[in-house]
Amino acid sequence: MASKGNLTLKSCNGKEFIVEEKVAVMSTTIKNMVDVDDSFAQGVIPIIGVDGKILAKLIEYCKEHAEADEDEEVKSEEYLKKFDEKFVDELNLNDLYDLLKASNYLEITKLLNLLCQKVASMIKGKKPEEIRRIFNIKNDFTPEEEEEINRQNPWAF
Amino acid sequence: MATRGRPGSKRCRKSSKDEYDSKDHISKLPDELIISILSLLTLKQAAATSVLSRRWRELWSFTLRLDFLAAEALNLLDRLEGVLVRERHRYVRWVNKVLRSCSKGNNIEEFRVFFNLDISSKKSIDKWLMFALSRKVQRIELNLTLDGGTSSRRDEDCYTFPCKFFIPRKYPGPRLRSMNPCTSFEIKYLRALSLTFVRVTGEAVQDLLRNCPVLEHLSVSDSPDLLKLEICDSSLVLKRLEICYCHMMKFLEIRNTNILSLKYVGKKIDIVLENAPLLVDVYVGGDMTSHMPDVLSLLSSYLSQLDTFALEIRHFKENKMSCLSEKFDNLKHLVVEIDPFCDTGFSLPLMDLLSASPCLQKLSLQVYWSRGPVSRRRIREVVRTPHLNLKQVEFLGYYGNAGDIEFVKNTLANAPQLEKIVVDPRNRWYPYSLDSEEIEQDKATTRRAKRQLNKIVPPQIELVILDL
Repeated sequence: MASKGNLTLKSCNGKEFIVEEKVAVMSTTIKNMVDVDDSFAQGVIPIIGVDGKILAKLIEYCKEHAEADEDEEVKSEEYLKKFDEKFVDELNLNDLYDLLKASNYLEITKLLNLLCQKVASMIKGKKPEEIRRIFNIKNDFTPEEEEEINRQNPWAF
Repeated sequence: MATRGRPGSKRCRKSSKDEYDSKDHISKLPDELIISILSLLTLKQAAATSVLSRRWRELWSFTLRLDFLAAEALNLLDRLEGVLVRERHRYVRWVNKVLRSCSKGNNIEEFRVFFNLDISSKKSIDKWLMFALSRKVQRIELNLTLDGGTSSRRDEDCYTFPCKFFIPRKYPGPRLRSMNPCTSFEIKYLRALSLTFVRVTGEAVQDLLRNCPVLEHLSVSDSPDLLKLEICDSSLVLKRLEICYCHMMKFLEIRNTNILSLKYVGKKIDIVLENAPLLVDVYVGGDMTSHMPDVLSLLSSYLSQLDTFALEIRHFKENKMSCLSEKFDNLKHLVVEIDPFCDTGFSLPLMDLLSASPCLQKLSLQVYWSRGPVSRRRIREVVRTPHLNLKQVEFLGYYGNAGDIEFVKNTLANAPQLEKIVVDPRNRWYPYSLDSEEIEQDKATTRRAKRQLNKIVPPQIELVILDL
């Protein structure tokens, strides 16, 4: 059982994490749950559809950023920037997708923006064929359709 | 997929992971997430994803940011004469075509037009603005730059801001009414508006501020119609105001507002600044800074509340800061942009500013040197004026002149807490792209910066010299 000021989060595969409330409420979804229903604050908050590995990652991120919000002197903007860079660099594609979905569901806006930036940077400056290869996107157009899109090319200046 | 041979259970796990890896997960993300990702790309990049697969075909057209920046075309225009009219047509066609593709009616966050356009494109620009407003746009930037043109633009040839879209009751436009009898334009979502080379009067700006309930950021540059602006209403939500290069401007009054940030660049005008208790960020530039005593007396009752102060100055030497009697008690970040004509040194006046700012943590310096031969005059003695809290210095436009080295030496000698110096030796005059000669020149400057600075910056201070 979490002590006062702490919350217990439970992943979909049963892993429990005790975290400080200020860390957990970086998630707007959790914040709303705690605000509306006091029993969540005492009991266990189930995090649906997020497994232990991803939840641990989310908590790692929120810990760094929550503390920074409270005491800006300790963690400079620059420190957080470096942390963010390292955080996304170490993710493999699957973790990236899972974190994207989880941070969207849990409404952790800062993290969501960071992850979207990461994916965008992987698309930036690449040819369609390369993008398909990086993300395993299957081209399901017929050659005629593809030609039609290229003909319309809505992006051309 | 080939699975490399591994025994027993490990092999099973490996192959299932491989299978997971080879699946297309990105396309399975919810639309809203893919759209957020695409909104971070340029329009061209985002639209190019339409060929990836059926799933991606139309997603780009829901992008939240319609940013019609055509840097390449502008850059090309800069180097070719006589193609402006043709390129304007192409630009207008491009915007129209994209807007037709984006006809599905989602809301947009940002709408930006950035091209050399004038009154001849009025109808199109009007339509674009109506489009943006109908999508509950939050930020509009209309930059009808002169870049790419070979001559200046007469005032009467500038596009005029269509007030009637924004405040339809006050400026009823007969044509508009007949076009859209019951459309109410959604100005209530507009948070930021930036106009460059757009004619807009002070009265219109004041009306806009009164009528747009969440307009927090307003920027007007190069408007020949802005003569007088009075912002004197404590109920306004305006937080940031920027007025730049409005050459007909005479008078600016800011009174009883909740403004946080003020930028004025241009000729010397009369400015009244009264009861702005939240003001923490001030930027002054242009000819106004040739009258430093006036600037400082204008700001005198705000100096102690500022945390960022930026100054763009022509001839720093003549602008001795000795008139500085009050102190910037809380200033954390000082930004100084200098455009020197010759290397007479800028450390001394800068030191005056620094010693008046006891809490300063960060100094950003931007010097626009002309790209001639490097000045090799004798480097003057270090002046002792301690900056006890200074931790970080950014030096943009380092060229390797004696004045540059002098400044770095002075900083090193006076800032015991200094942790980091970032030096960017790139030429900042060309915002779009550089030709090969300019790139070579930048490379040479970078080498020079490394040679000069690695020698004098001690190892305990992090020195970052940005490369091309």
